[in-house]
Amino acid sequence: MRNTDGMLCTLKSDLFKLKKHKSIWIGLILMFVLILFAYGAYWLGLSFLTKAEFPSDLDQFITQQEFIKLGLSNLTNFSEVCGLTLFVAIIACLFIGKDFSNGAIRLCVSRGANRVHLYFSKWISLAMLTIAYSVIAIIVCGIFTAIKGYGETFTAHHFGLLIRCFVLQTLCNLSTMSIVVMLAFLCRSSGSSLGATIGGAIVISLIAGLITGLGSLGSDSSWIYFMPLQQNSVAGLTVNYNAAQLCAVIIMPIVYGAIATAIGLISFLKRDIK
Amino acid sequence: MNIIEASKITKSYGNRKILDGVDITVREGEIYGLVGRNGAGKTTLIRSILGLVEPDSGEIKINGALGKNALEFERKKIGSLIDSPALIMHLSALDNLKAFALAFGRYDESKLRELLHSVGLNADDTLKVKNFSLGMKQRLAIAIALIGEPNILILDEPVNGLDPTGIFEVRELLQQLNHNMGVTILISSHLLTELGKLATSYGIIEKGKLVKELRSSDLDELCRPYIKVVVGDLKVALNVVVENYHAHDFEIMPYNTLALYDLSKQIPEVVDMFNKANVPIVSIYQCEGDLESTFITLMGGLGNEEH
Repeated sequence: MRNTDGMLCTLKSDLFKLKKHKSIWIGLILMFVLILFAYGAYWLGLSFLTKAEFPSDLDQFITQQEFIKLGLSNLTNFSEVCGLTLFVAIIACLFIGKDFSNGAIRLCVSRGANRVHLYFSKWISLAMLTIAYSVIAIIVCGIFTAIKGYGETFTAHHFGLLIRCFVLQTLCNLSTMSIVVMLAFLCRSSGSSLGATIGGAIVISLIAGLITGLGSLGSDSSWIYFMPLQQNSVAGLTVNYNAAQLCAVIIMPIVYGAIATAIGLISFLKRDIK
Repeated sequence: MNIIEASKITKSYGNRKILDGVDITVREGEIYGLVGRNGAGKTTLIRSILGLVEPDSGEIKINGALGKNALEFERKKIGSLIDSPALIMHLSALDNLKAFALAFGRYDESKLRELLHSVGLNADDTLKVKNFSLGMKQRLAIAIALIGEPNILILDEPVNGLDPTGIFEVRELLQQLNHNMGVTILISSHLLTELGKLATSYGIIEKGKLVKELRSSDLDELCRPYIKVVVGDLKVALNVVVENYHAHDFEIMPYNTLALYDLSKQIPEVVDMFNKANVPIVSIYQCEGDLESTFITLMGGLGNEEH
């Protein structure tokens, strides 16, 4: 085989390396364990319900009927249930950071690889991983939901909701992945990009938490969904979206993804490789 | 034909000028040795040629090509090894070659296996690279540089960490590539004696400037053994020498010192010659011309490092 198409070559190489990355398989196992925990807790709750021992303190926050429906929200919220974003972020930081630290990117550039191709080949291979993880997660969640149901019959309406949640959450996850790829290309090492990603996520979560707290005191907190990394919680909802939610869940991931990609790419094109 | 031409390359990091108008020309079929002390600018020059570092000014041509896209295309024909070997530690040697061959668009498993064999590594070995010795890593890095049979090799310290056998093997391999396949090689090394056995041309870099470019024949001339005489009266000694030596066969050195290159006269004869002319001799001994001291002299002597 002799292929000289630059983008395709770097993509093939990245997919080969990604396939051999141990963290991919560890991530998959951990995702499965997290899904198992979520459904284990749900099934345990259901067993209390059937024995008419629904905990009275829990009853204050959630009705029995609402609890049963958690089976469906576990499914539509599959991405948050299995911590998909976290695992993709860790793998992206390790994958890109290591390619910088072990000199693979340096060698490819010195061998005439186009830097735009190198950036997008990393982006595409990690996007493929995100989509593959999402498909696996939703299938596993679907199987687990089917085991004990959620008190309703699975209808075409439910299927439509599920597809909507899958598409929107995948879009949000791709946006988050673009931000992580940008950070990895800016930091150029696994450790510092992981630190920047986790640190950034914690800071944004704290701010969002603070705003939500103020919201309970009467302030308008609906705009937190427009902040970076905050769209996933809306993407998993099964309610009818209002205009603001629709904008937050469709436009914002695209905007954040595009801005992050532009910053990461420009920095990679301009900076010397040591 | 000129394969690599770098002209008036400058590069600064902050206030520090790393390259200051460097010009080098590497001709087809040459083994060009880049010599200089640490921080002289060798690696930055190599990185500029390879497109890793953007020079502040100057022009780089590879195979006559100029401009970003044309250079990117020409760089596909360059195999390189810069600094520490670029290796994926959690993969085996063959998987490393596969990963890079895919990226370079030169995947051919049988050729990759042959390549590993040629550098003395076993293609069927599943040992991960992180468990390799330094020498094995260096050999694998050379194999990666040779993927796709490049017609130019750019190597920065390629024998670092190798034992004497490894150094010999790498030298043999590079000479073979140069002689049999016409591969042009640009190589930088601190091991000057080793470089002397390999290179056909040299560029000496000091403080970001190319101080001298010379061919191996010029270097041989500079490395001749000589008799070093420190005399009491240089003027009288010179008269004696001019009468006995051809004008081009001696050199005046600092501190009343003369270097006599015509070794047909032995030390006792030289002593006798000066005694007859009443020229006091402070010291006299024969110096073996070696590459290291010649390079050090060309680089401006010892203790000239910038701190």
